[in-house]
Parts: sequence; structure tokens; C-alpha cells
Amino acid sequence: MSKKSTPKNVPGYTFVKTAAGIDEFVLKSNGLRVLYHYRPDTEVVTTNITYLVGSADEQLGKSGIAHMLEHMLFKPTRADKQAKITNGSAMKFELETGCLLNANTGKDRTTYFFSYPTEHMQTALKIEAQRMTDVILNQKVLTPEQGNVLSEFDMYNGDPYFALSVQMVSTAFLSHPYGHEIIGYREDIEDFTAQRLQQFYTDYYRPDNAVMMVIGDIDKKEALEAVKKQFGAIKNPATAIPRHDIREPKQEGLRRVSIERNSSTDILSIGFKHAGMGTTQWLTTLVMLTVLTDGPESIFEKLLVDTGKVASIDSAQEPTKDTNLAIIHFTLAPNQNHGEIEKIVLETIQNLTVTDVAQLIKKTKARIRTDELFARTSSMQIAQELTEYTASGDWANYNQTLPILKKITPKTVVDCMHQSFTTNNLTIGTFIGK
Amino acid sequence: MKLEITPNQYFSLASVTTKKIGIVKCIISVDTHSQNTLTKQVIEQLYPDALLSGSGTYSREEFLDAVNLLGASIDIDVTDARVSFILRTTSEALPKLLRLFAAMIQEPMFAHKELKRVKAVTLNQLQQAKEDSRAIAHEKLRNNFYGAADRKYSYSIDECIETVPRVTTTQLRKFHKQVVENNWFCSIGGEAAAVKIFATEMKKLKHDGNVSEGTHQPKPPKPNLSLENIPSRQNIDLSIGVPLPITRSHPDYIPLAFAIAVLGKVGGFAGRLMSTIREKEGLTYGIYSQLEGFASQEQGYFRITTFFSPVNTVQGLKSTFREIKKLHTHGVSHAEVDAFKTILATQQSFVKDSFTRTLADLHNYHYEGFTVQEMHAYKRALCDVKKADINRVIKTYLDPVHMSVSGAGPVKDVQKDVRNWFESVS
Repeated sequence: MSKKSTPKNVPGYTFVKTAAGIDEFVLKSNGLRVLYHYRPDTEVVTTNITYLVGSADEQLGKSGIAHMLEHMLFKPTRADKQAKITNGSAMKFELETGCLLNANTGKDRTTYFFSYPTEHMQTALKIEAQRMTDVILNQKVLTPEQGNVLSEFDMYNGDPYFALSVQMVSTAFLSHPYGHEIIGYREDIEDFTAQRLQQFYTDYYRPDNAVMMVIGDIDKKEALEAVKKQFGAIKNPATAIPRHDIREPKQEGLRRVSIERNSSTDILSIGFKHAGMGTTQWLTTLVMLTVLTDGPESIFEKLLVDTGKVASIDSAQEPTKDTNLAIIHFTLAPNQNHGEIEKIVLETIQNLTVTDVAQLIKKTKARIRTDELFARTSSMQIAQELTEYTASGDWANYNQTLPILKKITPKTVVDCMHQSFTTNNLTIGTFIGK
Repeated sequence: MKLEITPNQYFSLASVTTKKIGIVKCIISVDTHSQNTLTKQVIEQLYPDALLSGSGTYSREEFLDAVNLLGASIDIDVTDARVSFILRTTSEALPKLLRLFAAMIQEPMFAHKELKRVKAVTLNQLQQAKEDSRAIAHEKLRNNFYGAADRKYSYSIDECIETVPRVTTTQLRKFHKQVVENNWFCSIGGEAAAVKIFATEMKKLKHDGNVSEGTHQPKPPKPNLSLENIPSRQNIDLSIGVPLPITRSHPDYIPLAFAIAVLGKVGGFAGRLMSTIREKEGLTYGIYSQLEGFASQEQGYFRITTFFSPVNTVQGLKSTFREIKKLHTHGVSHAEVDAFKTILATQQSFVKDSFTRTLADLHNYHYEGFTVQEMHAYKRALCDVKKADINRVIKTYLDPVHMSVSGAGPVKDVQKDVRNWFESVS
């Protein structure tokens, strides 16, 4: 029997579904979800565990705690301490095998991954299982790591685009937790205590709130048995997973925010709210942003960069579950005025017609199709993309980009443009260099 | 995946032949270094956009339209006088994309109107680069190591801004002629049919080939501290290093590359710098070391790259130099040699997980003149290196008293302390 055709009936698991060569199972003992994808002849496996907790699960005054905890999972566990592994098993694993390892936090998820030669899979899974419940969180371990996170915060905050984005999301959202950035506020990071982290860890790091992905050159049965061996005995706490259930109040009118800094940079940023990932509207927004801002043929590169009014244009649309703020940053050329550029941008968008953008949309769709193929050429890339779909609601949407893309027409993109750039949906930021 | 490097009369061809994947990536690199000058540096900045601004019967708009309709891309990068064309497409669209690439190479327009636009865009980008503290720290370090005629020397942003308006289409055409006439290193990753099509097109396109004889101007090593105040940043970006009087072909290169990995392997936490200065002391988010700027016939340098908050900068530098000194005094241990042999071997195995990574890796060796066999031998040698050789080269090349430091960021309030510290160690 070939590796691909291993039966779906695997002891200890419930089979859920298959899409795009990916199988989903649930571990019967504790509800851990497992996604498996076979990639032959690479001799490499990537295991990626995604906890469905991110900065959106934080409370006021505790911004950045999900990200801080992500750092702490690289510290020693109780088992490490007993085994006298002073730098923690993850670091030891890297030193012993040369594996690639890292983690990242999003608004709806926190993800940890290892990529390694196939023979190390059991060790990787053992480390991941241990740190699901066994990390030591005390002030002695926390304090130096707080220094690293503050260094990371300063690295981001020194970037004017990031600093302005922080202010813009906090202006755009009055009560939804997408209103603070993933890394949190410096003041909150300084105030973290081990006790606060422990509570967050206990609340969210549990099998029924996690998805384990095994992608690579490994037999399905072997992979699933290894996951069961390492995770099968972990119990979920009796308490429910705390969730915010917050609906953002309706926006009435344009919102504005401004930053002034000793800098030679001037930025105009236009933010608009858009639907969450996995929806047709999310992908339509992506097409719209590409048409407006991405590459030499885009509407605003031609109108503003080529004419010397703007030095560069960047846009960002985060892959989140709920409605979020996408932002277009226009870095002004010397002696240009924020207000004038804003006027040009908004007027241009309002006047764009289907005829103006039809050809651009055709090309954008062709580009996205090619990009999609390139994005699926390594186990880590596949895991990364699956992670975002998983956190936004349904990993099987991984397979839906091309069908959704087919449905997107110049008219739907222009409609999206006109709906997105209305005063009741906009947040405008200015970074003023002094 | 099947890897091959085939020499031809005027170009060489490397290929990563894959099973059916439906996509193709091609990289074509050309060394244009002769003698670095301010004008040449500015031409290199203008060239990518200017070359993509119309070819043969295509205006700029028509050309970009034709490429994008294929869902493909042509990117041009110029770094240290090495010009690289990067083509990405579906397998189906490859023949059409290669025809567009040929038109761009054979019949570029370099029209006056487009050059005016390219200059305006570039001037704005240069203004923006004035706050790029990481790049500025790096450039200042390299300028301490190399003379102005060397490819690793960078003229200041203000000098470039003054020069941009003076560049002519004639100068751009001359530079392009050099790109066309110098030897090409062509690499492709894709299915067998795509490899065949690419090889045929390259043969049609390349009728001559010159080897570029460039000026290299390493300066005698002299420790130097350079600080540039950029008040808008929050951290001080640092480049710390020393020029090394060997080329990549020198027998000391491999043990040195191994030693630098032990000190600060890029990515992850395994290097000494990450495990102490980040993990134990909590002074920075990232600190790595590597060998840069080397070629088979060209010397390069060692560099540590990191950043500290202003308040942690002196302590961070002290800790960094403590680690270099520890390495210089005591060398690496048997346990480290064993561990890093495994780490480096595993890193090499990761390329198999992705055809684009395999292609990038193969292309770099190809550009350095390696055959596939030599590439494998080189990778084996890196994992067979002896502890005695590693510690010998550490003693020879990595004395902290010879290190230079270059920082850019909000240095105003700490520059006096940093200078005092630097005088005490150099």
C-alpha cells in the first residue's frame, strides 16, 4: 500500500475530511486536531502546532501577552529542569539536529514550528507536547525575555509605518480587540508578571484549542501514531476556553490620527475595514489592493510614484478571522502635502470605473494564480498558509482561492472599492516628520 | 530533483529538473564590476527601472502589460555590480516570457522621457533611504574596509542625489552593453521541457562573452568607530567586523566559515551570540555573524549585525566583544565542532524541501564557478573540518582589537560613552 493511500480509519482518531491532498483527523482522547500532508522524496518534515489564541484574546492592560508567552515556550519545561537541560529542549533540539525552529503570533493564533530531517519527528513532537502544558513561568525566567521583547518592540516602533499603524488600528476599533497590535504596548510589556502569563497559558494552551500539522516526507500512519503517542495523554482543563464576544460599534464618520516625530519621513496612510479571511470579500479586497497599489502598473504607482509626488506605496491586509483594518501607506516625496495626496487618492478611487480596471484585474488574477503555485513548493510555506486558513475558521479554504478568484469580476472589485473607501469605513493617519 | 551545470561558449547553464510542478523560475546573473565610481553606482540604481521601460516595439506600458498578462514577473536586482534577472512564470507561459526577456535584452529603448521619470522616482527613493539605519551602518563599515574603486564601497546618499540628474541615456546604454557582453550565469528550476526551452533560448541570445576584470581595493585593517545620528529610530543598528585578507578559494575560508557559524549562525538560536546576548542577557532581539562579500578571486569581510536600545548599547557592545574575545582566546570546543557539523549538514539537506531553495543554492555555487561535483565536495568539506584548523584561523583572523564598529540610530545621547568604550578595546 502506498503512503498516500493509507486508510482514513486510524486507531484513536476520528477522520474529518480531505481537501487538496490534506487529511484532517481529530484525536479522540482530547480533541487535538491533526492535519497531514504527504510530500515524497524531500527527506524533510515540518511540524507546526497552532493554538487558536492570539492578541484578540487579550484584555485591556495586558496587550502583547500572547506574544510574550510565545517567547516563553522556548524556555525550559519542568521535564527539562529534571533532565538538567538548562537552555530548554527546543534549543537543545536545534543544537543537536540543526532543525529550523521558530514561532509567531497573530491576532487569532499562535504558531510554533520545527522543520527537520524525517528521522527526528518523534523528538520534535515530544518537545511540542511537553511545552503545551509544562513550561516554567516565573519572574526569573521572564525578566530577561521581557528585555528581548522590549528590544523587538523598539525595533518595530522605530519604523514610522508600524508606529502609525498602531495608532490607526486603535482609532479604527473602539472595542474590538483588533484595536491593538500583536506585540502590545511598551507599558503593558513592562508590567507583565509570571502570574499573568501562567493564567493565559492555562486558559489557552490545551489540546482542544490546538491544530497540529504534519507536512512532509513521512508516512501518514507513522505520523498519526507519533502524534497520538506524544499528545494522547494530555487532558484538557475542565474550564471553558475564555473568548471575547465583542461586536465593534458602527463607525459614524471619518476617523483621523496623527504622529509627529523628529524624522525626514512624511506618510499619509489610508485604512479601511474589510471582511475576514476565507471569504470572497477578503480575496476581492486583496485583488483591489493589488490593482490600486502593487507594482508599476497599479493605479497609484502610475498616478503618484511615476509623477514624483510620492516616494513609495505599501499596503497591508492581515489574514484575520474577523473584520480588520487594511492600510495603504503613501510615503510623500519632499515638499508634498498630506492633504493634497489624500484628496487625489480618494477622488481617484471614487471615479474609477469597471473599464479603468478591467485589464488590471485580469492581470492581477493571473499573478495570484502563479503566486499560489509558488507558495506551495515547500513544507514550511504550505504550513504557513494552512495556519492562516485554520485560524480564520476553516483550513479547507486553502483549496478555495482559485474557485473564489474565478467569481471575482471587475464589477465586484469596483463595488468593493466604492464600499471600502467611504467616510464611515475609513481611518486616515498622518506621520509628520519634524 | 536532478541538478546539472553545463558550460557553454558564452554562458553556463545550471538546472534543477523537477517532476511536473507547473511553474518555472530562472535566474540570470552577470558580473559588471570593473571600477566602482559614483556615476557607475548611480547607473546601477537607475538601470532596473530604465531597462523595464520599453523594448523593441513595446512601450513601457505594453511591455509590463504583456508580462503581467502571463501572470509572470521579471525582476532585476543589482547588488555590488552583480546584475541578476529573475523570471517567474507558469511552465505554459515560459516561451512567451522568454521572448519578452529577449526583446528587453536585445532592444531596450532607454527613452529620454522614461529616463526622466526613472530619475524622479530614484531621487525620492534615495531621500527615503536616509533613515535606513541598518543599511547605513552596514555601508559605513564597508567603507572603512574598502577603497572607492572597490565594488563594496558606497558613495553617500547625498553624493548619489547630486549625480542622478547628470546620468545620460548613452551611459545607460554603455552599461547595458556590458551586461549583454559579459559572461552569463543562467540557472533554471522547472520541468525537463522548460529546461530545454530555456537552454535553447539562452543559446540564441548569447553570442559573445567577456570575463569582467574588476578593481579590488581592500584597505589595510584599521579599527574604526563610526556613528550616525538618526533620531527617528528607536534602536541603534550596529555592524561590527573586520576585513579578511583571503578569498573564498583560500584553504582558511572553510574553517573560518565554520567558526563564524559557531559564533553567530544566521537564523535560530544555536550561535553563541544568540544564546548569550539574547537568551541569557536579554539585550537584543537578534544578533548574528557571517562572512560577506567573498568570491573565488575576491576578499571579503566578517560582520556581526545586531541592534541595541540606546540605553543598552554600551553593555551590548561589551557583551559582543566579550564573546569575540572568548572565541579568540579559547577557540571552539569539541562538543561545538560536533554539534555544528550536524547543524551545517542539516541546513544543506533543507534545500531538498523546495525547488526554489535548491535553485537559489545551485545558482550561487554556479556563479562562483563550481561544478555540481565541486559544490558537493565543498559542502562535504564544511562538515569535515578539523577543530585544530578552526581554532588556528580564529587566532589568525578574529582578534577583537582589530574590529571596527559602525552604528546608526539615536546615538546622540550615548556617543560619548560608546567612544570611550571603543578606545578602551581597540
